[in-house]
Amino acid sequence: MVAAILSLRWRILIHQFQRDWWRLLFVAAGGIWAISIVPALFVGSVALSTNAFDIKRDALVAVSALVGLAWVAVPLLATGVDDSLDPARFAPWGIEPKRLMPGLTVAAFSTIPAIFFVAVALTMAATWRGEDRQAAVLVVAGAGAVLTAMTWVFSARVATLWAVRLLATRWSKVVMAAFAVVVVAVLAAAVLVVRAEGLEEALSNEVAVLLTQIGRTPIGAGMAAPAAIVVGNEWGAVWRLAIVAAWAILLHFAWRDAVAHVLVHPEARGAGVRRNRDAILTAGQRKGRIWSLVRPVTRAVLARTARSWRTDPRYIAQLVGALVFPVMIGGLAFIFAGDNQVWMAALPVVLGVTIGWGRHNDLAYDSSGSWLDIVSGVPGADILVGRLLGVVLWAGPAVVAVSATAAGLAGRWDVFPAVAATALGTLGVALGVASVTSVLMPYRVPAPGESPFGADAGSIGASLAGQVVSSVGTGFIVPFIVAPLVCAFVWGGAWWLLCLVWGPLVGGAIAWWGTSLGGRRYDARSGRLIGAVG
Amino acid sequence: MPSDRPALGLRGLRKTFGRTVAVDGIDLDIPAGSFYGLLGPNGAGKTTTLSMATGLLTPDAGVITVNGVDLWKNPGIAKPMLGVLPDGLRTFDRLTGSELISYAGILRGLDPDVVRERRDDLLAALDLAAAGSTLVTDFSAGMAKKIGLACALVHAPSVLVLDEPFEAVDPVSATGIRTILQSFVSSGGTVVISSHVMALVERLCDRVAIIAAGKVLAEGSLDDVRGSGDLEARFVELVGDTSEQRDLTWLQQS
Repeated sequence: MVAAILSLRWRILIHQFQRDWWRLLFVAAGGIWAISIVPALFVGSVALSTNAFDIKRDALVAVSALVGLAWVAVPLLATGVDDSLDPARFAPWGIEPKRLMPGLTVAAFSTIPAIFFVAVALTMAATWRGEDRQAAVLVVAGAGAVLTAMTWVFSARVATLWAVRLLATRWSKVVMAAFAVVVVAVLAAAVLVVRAEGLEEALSNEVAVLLTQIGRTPIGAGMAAPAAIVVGNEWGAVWRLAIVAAWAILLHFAWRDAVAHVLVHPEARGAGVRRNRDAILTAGQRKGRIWSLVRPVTRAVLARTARSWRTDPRYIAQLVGALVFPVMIGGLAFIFAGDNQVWMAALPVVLGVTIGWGRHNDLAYDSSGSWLDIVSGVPGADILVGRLLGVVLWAGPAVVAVSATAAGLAGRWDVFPAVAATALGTLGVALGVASVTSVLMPYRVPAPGESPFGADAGSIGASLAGQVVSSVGTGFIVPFIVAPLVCAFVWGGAWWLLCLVWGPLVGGAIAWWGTSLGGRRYDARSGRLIGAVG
Repeated sequence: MPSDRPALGLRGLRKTFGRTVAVDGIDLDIPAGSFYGLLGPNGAGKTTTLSMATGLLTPDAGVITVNGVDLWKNPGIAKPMLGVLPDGLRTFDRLTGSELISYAGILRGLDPDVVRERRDDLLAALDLAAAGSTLVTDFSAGMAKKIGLACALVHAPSVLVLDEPFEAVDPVSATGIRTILQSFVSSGGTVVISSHVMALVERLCDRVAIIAAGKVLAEGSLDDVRGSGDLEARFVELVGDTSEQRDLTWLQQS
């Protein structure tokens, strides 16, 4: 079965590359990037190896914890991970999980990220060379590194499958709200500690204590075990390796359990929800000046898109990723840079850009459901405006809320209106560019009901192409929006007032341009869209 | 009085995917007021043909007209005359059955009050009243087919193009759908269906075309095409029994 599964994966890749040879270029680029990191890792390892054992231990535990967090977070927050071996695809074949798992396990370690990070873990282990009792220390370090890398790979699989299961239930919103509260609480606690003591004090006190404790948990014990040998505490090394090994076994059992569940629950469904109110008809009947500006068709598209953002696991996963990543990065920037006003102004602006940029493949989420729009002869611009408004409905308030939070933390409520207006402008710009790229360069995403965290094996290269083009397009225009805000911070005066008008005006204009141009291309390409996204 | 123009006209239709020729120069005139059956083995090019005929797939060559209007040159005029039920495509599954019909109606430019009335009529006629408040993602295959049919009907088109409309539909619902479609044709509408079920086609259609390997092998009135035998025999005769006849002795249970 192991050979069959590995051969299956290999065949899928070969067929994909035979069909679209140019995708190999992107894979090669990824490989070259990974190899180019190796010298830097080696230099870092050499530099760290000359330090005292406790500094090495804390540094390795910290890196291990961050990499472990990334292995869990990246597949959840950045959708599009290769899912050619998604266990759900094995459901029709009636294979027992215990027969499937060895193959899935070997396959999980045969991916480029897994190979790269096993190499990273072993490089980290090599940092322990030069200590007394070197042979014993290096054996423990090597064992700890391999076990830790196993927990990274297994935890990513478990997290993804559990998240898929969670998103298909009625409790998904409650759990995600709790998750958001925990993230914000951790960031807030970190901010409070850094503000109270200063960064250096916090690093040498709370962070050092935290790392010592993490070194006693499965997250960091594999990396901390060699330090126990260095101080002659063999039992300390043994129990640390034992808890990492136990954690790896536990995670593997959890993975097997999750696979067993997926095999008999192949598709995420609607959790038995019933709705008596016809939201589409209600949207079509809305009266009022603002609604009269929006065509009925656009309102209908807006209503269905808004429903997707609230209930479709694929959209919810994107929404969480779009909000959590920038907030986490902003929180870290705040911890290290303090309440520097430039950072605080940059956060909402970056949030606007990232949310908008993230929609560069928005249309693909309609999947082959687009047939209804296409056979109805609806102008593409109406579809794109409806989808764009569906994003603005949650992203607009989010950007304003983050602007207000940033202004409050920096103690600069006077800059809040200008920052919020600029951030809304960047959102509009990025959404406008995304409207064009999602029509011109769509790539396949998980279909409705499929795991929201996967990607069609063949879409990886196409997704990179779409992402590069939308990045260049957005990156080219955003500086024009942000320039007045920069000038306002430098010179003040009338620049602040200009920001209030400039952001919404240019952002709105680019959004309008993007939906118009994208709409015309949609109409021209309508006979090819289903094939591109379905 | 029926018009001389075909309700749906296909001229020199061609589509290739890489080196595979899916549709190879199909010419068909589907008269207004006919119940037309498109038959063919798996992979014959039926779905590709119907996708091109409804604006879902760009043809490599050829012209499609709906009541004389070029579909690909004047989609704004031609598409409103078509009602379409594709096979195998997904739909907006986070909407309820009611909402999906409303969505289709509003896309077609109907007034919300008209949409509400027709939506309720269609839900009742297709035995979907209980499913109106259920999310489409929770629908069975047959219910999804019926809700797709309701979406195709809501704007009262003059030509219905239905790809495998009876697939996965239970016999009671199938009877209801047949009644609706036959009534539609008797009132002057045109229905084009693709199907593998010969008995169903013989029962419903007055004209048929048999296609294989992207070409039309036979076309005309049902009686002309089937001749003195039944349609299935004629189909096998035209398409040929292409499967290799092996004796699967290992499958025998005793």
